[in-house]
Amino acid sequence: MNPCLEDKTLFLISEGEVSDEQRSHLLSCPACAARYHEMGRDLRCITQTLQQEPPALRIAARAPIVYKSLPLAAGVLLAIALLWGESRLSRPDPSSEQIANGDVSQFLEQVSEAIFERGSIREVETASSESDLASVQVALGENCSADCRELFINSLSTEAKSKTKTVDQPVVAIRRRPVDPAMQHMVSDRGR
Amino acid sequence: MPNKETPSFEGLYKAHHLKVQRLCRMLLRDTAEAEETGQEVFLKMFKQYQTASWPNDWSAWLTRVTVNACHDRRKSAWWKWWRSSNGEVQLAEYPSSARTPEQEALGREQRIHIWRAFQELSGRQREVFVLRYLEGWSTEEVAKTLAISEGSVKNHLFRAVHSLREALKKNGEGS
Repeated sequence: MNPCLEDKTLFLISEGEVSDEQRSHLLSCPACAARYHEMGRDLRCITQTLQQEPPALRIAARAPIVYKSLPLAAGVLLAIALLWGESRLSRPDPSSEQIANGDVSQFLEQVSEAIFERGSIREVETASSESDLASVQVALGENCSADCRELFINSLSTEAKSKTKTVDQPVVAIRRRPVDPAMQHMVSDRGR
Repeated sequence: MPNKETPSFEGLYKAHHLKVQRLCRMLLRDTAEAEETGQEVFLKMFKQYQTASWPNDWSAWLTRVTVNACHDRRKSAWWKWWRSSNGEVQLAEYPSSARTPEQEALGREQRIHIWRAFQELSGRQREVFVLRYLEGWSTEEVAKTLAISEGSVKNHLFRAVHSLREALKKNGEGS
């Protein structure tokens, strides 16, 4: 036996869409026939109600959309705040990075100025290897071993060879900054 | 141009204005908007009346124009709805005809349930239901007027009928 017809099928039958199989089922199945007639009766009742004067009533007021959308707006704002906070945490602060870089560069500048405080870069380049060696010894203090000295002399000789091959390069001017007194004192103490 | 065989504009207005107003009130939830839309429809009818191309059936023409006007009004009414904070849905006093015995048998609660369910239908479902069952149009005519397929009309109709029957049953169970 065929299964009973669905509500939509019964509705489509009422709209004139019916196959022979459905028609035969509707004629043979009292339950489906009863449902079909009930649907027709309901539809008549609804149509007549809607054709008549409506009862004097006001449908319960809907919540204003402003109130309805408040939780949604709060959720969106919270999500935006969380995303923004997360991005802020994961990205390093550019200002602190700049400060750190500035500190490092300032420190290096002070060290280099302390080492080469007696002359400009040109003077250092043109100084003899002995004076360079003395400067390095002063800078490194007692840590300058014999191996270190030999390595430095070798590097100077290779540098001299390369200088003969290259064209005279422009001198880089370094703006002299006032050296940190504590740093200068430390270097001079080591030199002594 | 009007002649002896065709009615006057006043005659057409008297014959159809109740129906147009009722249709507008059913398709639009707001009574004031329904009245405005009804006036728009009769303005269009007046313009059409002054042209040489008259429709064969003024009633069908008015229904079609009213449904389209209400559809346009619903589309443009979202901002008004946003602004209106009270959100009350009004069921005003509609023009009515004499009640049938079956209608009298229906209790007031049942009618309230049916009307509420009808007002809660989507705009398209209301349009389809009104044209198909209250105006008595065929599925094909409804589909042509609303520019949708017949299958779509039947789907909307089925959903509307299902919701309305649920409201009817709910009342039956409750009483």
